[in-house]
Amino acid sequence: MKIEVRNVSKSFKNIDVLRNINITLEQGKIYGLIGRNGSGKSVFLKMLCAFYEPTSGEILYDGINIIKEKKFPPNTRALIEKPSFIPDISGYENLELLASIQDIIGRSEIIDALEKTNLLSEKDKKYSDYSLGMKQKLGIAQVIMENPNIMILDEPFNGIEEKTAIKLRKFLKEEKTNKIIIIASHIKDDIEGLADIIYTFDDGTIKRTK
Amino acid sequence: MRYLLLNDLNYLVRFQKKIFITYLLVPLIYLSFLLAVNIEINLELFNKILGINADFISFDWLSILLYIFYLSIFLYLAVTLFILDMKSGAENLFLRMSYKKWLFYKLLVIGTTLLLMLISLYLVLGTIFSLIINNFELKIMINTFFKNFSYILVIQSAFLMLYSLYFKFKIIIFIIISLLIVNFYKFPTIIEKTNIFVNVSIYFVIFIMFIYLFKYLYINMFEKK
Repeated sequence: MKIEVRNVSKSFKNIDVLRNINITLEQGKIYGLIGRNGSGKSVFLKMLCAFYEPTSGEILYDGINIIKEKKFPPNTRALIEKPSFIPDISGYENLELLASIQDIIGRSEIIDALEKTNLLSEKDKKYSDYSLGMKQKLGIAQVIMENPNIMILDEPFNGIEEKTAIKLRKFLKEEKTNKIIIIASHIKDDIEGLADIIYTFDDGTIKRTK
Repeated sequence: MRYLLLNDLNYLVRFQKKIFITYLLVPLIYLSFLLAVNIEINLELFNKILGINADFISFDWLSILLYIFYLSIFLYLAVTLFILDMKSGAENLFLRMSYKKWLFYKLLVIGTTLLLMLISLYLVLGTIFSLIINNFELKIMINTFFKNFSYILVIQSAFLMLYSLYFKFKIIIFIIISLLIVNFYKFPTIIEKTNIFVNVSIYFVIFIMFIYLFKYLYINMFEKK
């Protein structure tokens, strides 16, 4: 599994958000994306998910330009910006309904994901009664529960207590072997000890800093 | 499908309560007014309250207002539900299903919402009218219901397709307005001019066209939401 980002630029209403980005993301590594808020990290992640189209350049998944093919990336899960779920049902029911779309996992995998995010004891609580941190944990559980090949996490540790953050970091390090894991944050400390390779976003450009 | 349905239902119940109340209250207030001024209650009045005999040639402004009122509510709800998944939590759904599958289910959910809303309106008004009019025929009401439903379904799906096109080609907004004007003149009364079979056929043509065109449009919609 390989993602190649070739000469990608993105602009909105003639304002350049990203300019000539060239990176290759390979299996077995955790990639950290650092940059202040508004530096283009989320736009970049949305392009990786095929929600945004590059103004120029191309993004290839194992050599296939999925945007041209009118597809979303295969075996990929993401949490970008705020998590969003159905408010009037429980966290567990939300995950169960999402899992039923592809029907590749069952109850045990959902419970496992909730356990990994320290949300198991709150699984039957309504989503609307969750705190910000719990909502974030459910967003991460949604990403990891189906064991995807590519995980995209935007500011994953926002609002999460240290104990869970440590547990998640350990889990991500163990899981990276056959995966591409991409984590974006504006906080350097969130990324430094975790990522194998770090790219810093600044003024529309990207620079490898580790 | 279940996630999509529950998400939309939850959104409607949580955030569109006022629309539903207004939707049922306006015809009831209008009917109460008519009863208070002793106007003869007949089948024509039933059609008038439902906004389905709006005549743009003789220009019965109350019927036209009711027609626009119902159409606006149905189009507003259709657009709101249509863009809901793109506005928040897009990654939950779109990384798990293709855009085709999503659109198919979405149009189904929007159509079901329309069906349930019309059933509730016809039930309320039908019950009142059957109590007032002795010879109020259920068969005629059911026929009217299906004409009304199929007519709005066509307008709604055509509007959603043009709305999606608008994100790529701004000029489409003018086409929408033109079509609405043409629609006003071409179909002065739903009840007289509408043929259920023709409407269903048009709906399926729009459905297939929409699914084919949507692959060129969805990214523009994501970017602008």
